[in-house]
Amino acid sequence: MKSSEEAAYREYVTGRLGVLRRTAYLLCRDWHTADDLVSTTITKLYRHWGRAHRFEGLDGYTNQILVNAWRDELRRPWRREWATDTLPDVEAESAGPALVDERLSHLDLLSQLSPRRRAAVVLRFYCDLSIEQTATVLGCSAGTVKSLTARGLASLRELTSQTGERRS
Amino acid sequence: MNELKDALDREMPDAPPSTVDVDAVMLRERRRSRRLGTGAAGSAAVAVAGLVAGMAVLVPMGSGSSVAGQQVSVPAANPGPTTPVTVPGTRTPAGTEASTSPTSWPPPKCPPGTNMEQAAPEGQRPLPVGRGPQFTAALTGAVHAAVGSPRLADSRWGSVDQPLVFSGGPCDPKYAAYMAAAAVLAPRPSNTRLGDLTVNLEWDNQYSTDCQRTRVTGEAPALACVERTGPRGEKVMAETQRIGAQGSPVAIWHDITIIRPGGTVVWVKCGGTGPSQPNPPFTVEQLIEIGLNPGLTLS
Repeated sequence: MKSSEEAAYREYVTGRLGVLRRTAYLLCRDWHTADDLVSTTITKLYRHWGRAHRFEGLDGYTNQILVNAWRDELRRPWRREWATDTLPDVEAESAGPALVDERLSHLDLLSQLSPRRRAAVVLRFYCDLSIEQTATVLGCSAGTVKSLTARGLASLRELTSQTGERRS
Repeated sequence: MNELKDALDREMPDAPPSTVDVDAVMLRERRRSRRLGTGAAGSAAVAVAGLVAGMAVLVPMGSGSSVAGQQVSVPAANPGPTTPVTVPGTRTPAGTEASTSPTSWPPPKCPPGTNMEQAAPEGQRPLPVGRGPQFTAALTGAVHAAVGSPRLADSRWGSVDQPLVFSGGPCDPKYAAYMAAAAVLAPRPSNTRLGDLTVNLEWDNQYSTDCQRTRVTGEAPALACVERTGPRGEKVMAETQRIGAQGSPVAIWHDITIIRPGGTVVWVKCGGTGPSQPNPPFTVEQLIEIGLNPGLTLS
């Protein structure tokens, strides 16, 4: 890769790193896994940068690599498990029980969706991709994306109402 | 729907410092491209010479292998590898002497960005599709050759007494992973789940077969680890791990990583289900034998 292309790659990746990490986190709900997914994504992007940086929809292409990396990760879940003596999650000192419960609610509800619905909702409503772009990323038709997002949102609403009922 | 996006942004916990190292990725990929670039001229010559030899040696592979008195169908190899290499005679898992064996593992031919389901020929959808049935058959043959005829259940759909089922994979010529998984059941009439088995066949991975490799942050040391070289020059690493973090049941898993001379990675993993069945149903040697089976290829 030429130095000018490397500079463009570095600039693009550095600028998108935060968004990629957050998107990956929404998909997998684990920051360490999210970082692994982002590393895989930018590695593959580097390999294809010669062609990819000319794409009009470079962000969509990057999202596609990310979603594929996440799908791949789902297929080998045992690779992610290891024994540890300490629990990584520590409750924030400043947050009371009620606040923690409220803060986690939407993320928890999202993680209860099936992987494809979750990916469709995240891509459509968090990454702001169009139906067609989402269809390209997920490798399905626009109609399937509409169906996935509609059902995903319906599930979210249903889960929200169930959570609300339990709280009341 | 900006409402949802705002809510997710608001609720997302503070991100820890990023462990993504852009410079390290670029450095690694520069080295990789240099390495590939150096070997390009040599591989082109090998491809031309090997294609002729490959046509001759690939045909016998399709005739199947005899396993424990039964004929297991191993799919015929596709005589179209990019860099076929022949190796001296080796022993097959069934104990028969093979004169030659192909160790070329070309990546799948499919458009980038699609998956195996989409790349499947029309009329073969849904799964198993494409070369999935070949992989399923070859893997089932490898398992039977190594451990007899265990009862397997499809861990995804719960159908008992099924072979290991190909589950598709990303269809990227630069990277691909084919996976099959199954639950291992006790003999009839019991339906006790003894453990799980999963096998991946991958390209373009960066797995290590070094027991002293740098481990992932937080990853526990292996209970045992052995390295060896396979009969066809494969690098083999067999690790035994105790897994079950964050509240999940504790079980022992054998993790076999095999890197073939062509760069293909075969990854075999098998473990118990939890405290009641902590030990894997298969031994390390059996799992290595599964992974070294020369029929285990999609080509």
